[in-house]
Amino acid sequence: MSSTEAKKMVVLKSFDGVTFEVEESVAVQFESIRHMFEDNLAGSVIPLSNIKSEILSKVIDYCKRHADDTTDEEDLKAFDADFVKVEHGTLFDIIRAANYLNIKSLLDLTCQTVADMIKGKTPAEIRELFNISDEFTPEEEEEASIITRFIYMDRYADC
Amino acid sequence: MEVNFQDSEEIVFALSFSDFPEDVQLCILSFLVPSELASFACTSKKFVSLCRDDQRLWFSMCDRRWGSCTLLKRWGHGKISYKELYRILSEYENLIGFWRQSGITNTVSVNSPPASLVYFEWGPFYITGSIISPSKNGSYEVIRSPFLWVSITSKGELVNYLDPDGRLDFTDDLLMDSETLGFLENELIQVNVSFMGKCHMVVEENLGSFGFGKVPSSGIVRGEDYQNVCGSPPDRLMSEIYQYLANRTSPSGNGVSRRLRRREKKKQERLRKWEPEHLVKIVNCSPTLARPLQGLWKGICEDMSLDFYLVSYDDIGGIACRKVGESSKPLSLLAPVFWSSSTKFIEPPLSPEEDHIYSNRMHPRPPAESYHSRDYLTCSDNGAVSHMLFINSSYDLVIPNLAGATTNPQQCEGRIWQYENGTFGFGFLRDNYIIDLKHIAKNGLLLDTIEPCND
Repeated sequence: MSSTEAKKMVVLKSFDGVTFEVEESVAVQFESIRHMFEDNLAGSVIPLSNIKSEILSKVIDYCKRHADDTTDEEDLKAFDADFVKVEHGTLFDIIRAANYLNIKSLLDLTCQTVADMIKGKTPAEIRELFNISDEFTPEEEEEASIITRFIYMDRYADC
Repeated sequence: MEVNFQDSEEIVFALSFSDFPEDVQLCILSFLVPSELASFACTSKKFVSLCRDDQRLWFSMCDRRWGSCTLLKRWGHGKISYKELYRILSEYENLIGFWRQSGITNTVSVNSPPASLVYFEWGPFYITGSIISPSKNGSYEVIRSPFLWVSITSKGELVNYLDPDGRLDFTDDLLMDSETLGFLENELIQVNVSFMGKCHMVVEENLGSFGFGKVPSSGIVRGEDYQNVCGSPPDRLMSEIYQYLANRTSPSGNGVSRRLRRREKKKQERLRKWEPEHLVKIVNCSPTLARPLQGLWKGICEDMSLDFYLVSYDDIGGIACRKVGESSKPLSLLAPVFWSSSTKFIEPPLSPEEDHIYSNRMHPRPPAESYHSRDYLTCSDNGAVSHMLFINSSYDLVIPNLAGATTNPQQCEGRIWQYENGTFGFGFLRDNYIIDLKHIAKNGLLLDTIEPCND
């Protein structure tokens, strides 16, 4: 695409009414709403009724960086690492948005970040992290712990 | 998806794993390793079943680790669980890479291929081990001769087949199907591959296996020299181990062990087709930023033969380079091709004398390449020299009693010239050559491979 050619724009509207105009080359990464602007509904506004403007602007920012072929790989990695350094609440909102919009690379990036929070924690710490209500009685927990550890850990001692 | 944001404002900061849709939950969990997954499963009853989801969770766990290397759905004919596959692959992925034959071997001439440099790589539903040897045609090409296949049956049992003569072409599903393998029993040897730690493995004939029990008619049978296998337990103990393995892996029914006992007598008279082969992993086989010369290299010598070299760094800052592939002696017993106690590079510009030493040298090249230009190119096509290092070809200089007495320093002194493209060449003052080294493999891929030519 030559730089003089007018780029096709897509208008997105967040849950709280803020509109974002993005290039189609960026918006194609939104797999789940792709058909809406590919059906050539030029000028129409695509409502994203469950994404807040704050989150949507972050997601668009991410997709812009990843649509740009000129960015070198190291820079992109550094950008990704910075991108997930947000409050947990924001991170969780981005995951929901990435899942809703079906942006696979963003979903992987953010899920990996959550997985990294789980790594190295004890069950009690994980419960605290995710607000998991303790459903086990102490005896049950002991049993579950023994059984699961038997199933998974002993056989993967090296992992 | 209907989300009421009036309410969610409050819970947004109270993170809750259960709020995620199930596929997001599975996506997060797929980044964990089993021990972490176990910790997670302990947090709540409802997550225990989530963590058992074989088709979705364990499949994506396998997919993240090995999806780009192999066709996961075809392992074990697609009939084993991904959880089981995960366990097997996490053990066997350790095979991937370069290994060399270890010194623990029989001194009696072995008719099996000299497994000097062995390379394991992923296949669609198996792992292949190939012997890597230099081509004899004067080029940089290396011969890859597959000889070992590691896979699993549809019942999840490990099967490893050895093809000592390199006669068979295994590319389809026939392989690893024990029913159809009957007719191959004279050509193939069923073996056990066992690890001793991460970096040492033994490939041993599986004498306890049924269906492979006949005396082979092929020419690979050797005499009765198997009594003297050094480094292996006495034969009597061996058969007990085999019997143990056989008991463990074969479908056991009544009478199996009795049959085995009867067979044991026969076994002792039987001839082994394959000597236990000890392999040691070559851990540091590629250069790193801190160790730019490290790894496996190949170079054409002045007599136009291709040789493999392994350059290794020691803990006190020195390097040593040894030839790989011509001897099965432990590397530490092999005389180095060159060594240096320091890896401090000299930066250009080189002094006129040093420049003279470099520029008057010939770089042996494959005939095909030199045919178009000159017999020996006088300059390297790897770019200008970016660094230089002093080396020695003999350890003698460091042994005080021998220094000066037997060795003329001119005989041993040499240089390494590192090029702009990261590769390097070495040469000695005693002659006029530079042996330029190239990578044997790059990014996990063997370079310039050719298939062995069968007679």
